[in-house]
Amino acid sequence: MHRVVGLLLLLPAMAMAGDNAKKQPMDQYQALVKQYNEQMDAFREAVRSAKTPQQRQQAFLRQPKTDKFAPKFLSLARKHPRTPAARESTTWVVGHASSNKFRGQALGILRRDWIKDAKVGPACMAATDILQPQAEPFLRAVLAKNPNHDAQATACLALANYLKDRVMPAVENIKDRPASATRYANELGKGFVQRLRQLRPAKLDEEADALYERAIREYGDVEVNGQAVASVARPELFELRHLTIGKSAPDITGEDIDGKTFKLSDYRGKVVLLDFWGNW
Amino acid sequence: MYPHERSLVKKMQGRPFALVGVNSDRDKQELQEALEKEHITWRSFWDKSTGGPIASTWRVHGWPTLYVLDARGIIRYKWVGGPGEAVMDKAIEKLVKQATVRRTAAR
Repeated sequence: MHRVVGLLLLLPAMAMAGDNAKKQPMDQYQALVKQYNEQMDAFREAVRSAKTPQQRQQAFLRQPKTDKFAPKFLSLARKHPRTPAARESTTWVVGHASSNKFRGQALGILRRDWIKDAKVGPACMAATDILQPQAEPFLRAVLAKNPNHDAQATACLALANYLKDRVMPAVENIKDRPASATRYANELGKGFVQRLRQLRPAKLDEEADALYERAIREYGDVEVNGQAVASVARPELFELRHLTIGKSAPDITGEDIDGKTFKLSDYRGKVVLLDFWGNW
Repeated sequence: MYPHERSLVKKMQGRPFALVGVNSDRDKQELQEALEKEHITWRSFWDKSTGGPIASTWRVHGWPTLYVLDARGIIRYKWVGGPGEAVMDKAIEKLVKQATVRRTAAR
């Protein structure tokens, strides 16, 4: 009787100790995310409730530093490679870290271990946030090698967006402004800037255009973040064709504040600074 | 922002340049007051909100967004947020010179 009771009392204790000892990687991931989100919530609340400039300044100091969290996520990914926690952790770093070093490390892991994974989509979207040397090879690899239709769809859209929104503007910036080139070199490396210099805008444009067309044609019905790929790709393609450097601007017909109609094309023959502004 | 725009308009008088706004303020009264107070003399389309038809077509997500079109209506520069007065002035001056040469040559 005593021995049985003893054993029964021991079992729950053993189970608890077991849980604590091998806290699952995903649990650890969730805990880190929760910690970060709680700090973000506190920061936002502090900003919202600040009433004086000094209070606002104090509030902004509370913003959680993504680069303090990034190493923790990366460490978790390295301790448990090829687990969902590794995929989620590296995706978090790609989407949140401000340091190019951490984003690069995360993209390296993603490219090594996850390009064929069915759930690599969110990592692809995160990779489009910022110009980053490893982003393009990662996206191209997913598009070329992932067997899953939905993952391909996301990679196709993401690569098109990345070329249009990150690479093409960077190529223009480097041409026009030497100070930009220096800044890119400092952040992303001289080798990367040299490669950017060799890219031709017309060719980038052609490829992005073809990728958007492919997204609409081959993956139009796939849902990414609750939206059909075709309905996301079409306005992006419009922007590429009509609102990027070198394109003929769409005409505008509208009313001024006095209700009088006029057109942007009324100013043809003059250089126009078109200024989207507001007093709010 | 307004002082630079005002000085740009003044500097470019008589030259092939126009500053055209797309305004996203909702309140007509407040907008009219602002136009007076800030001596905004250039014309704006009144888009009536940040989600207005013009901002939507042009896919504007940040204010200010600035486009520079050359005299043939081709987009030559795009900036989200001001790129700084020196950058803007240099870009505009270059294009206005080209437009002036073209105009003179056409005569």
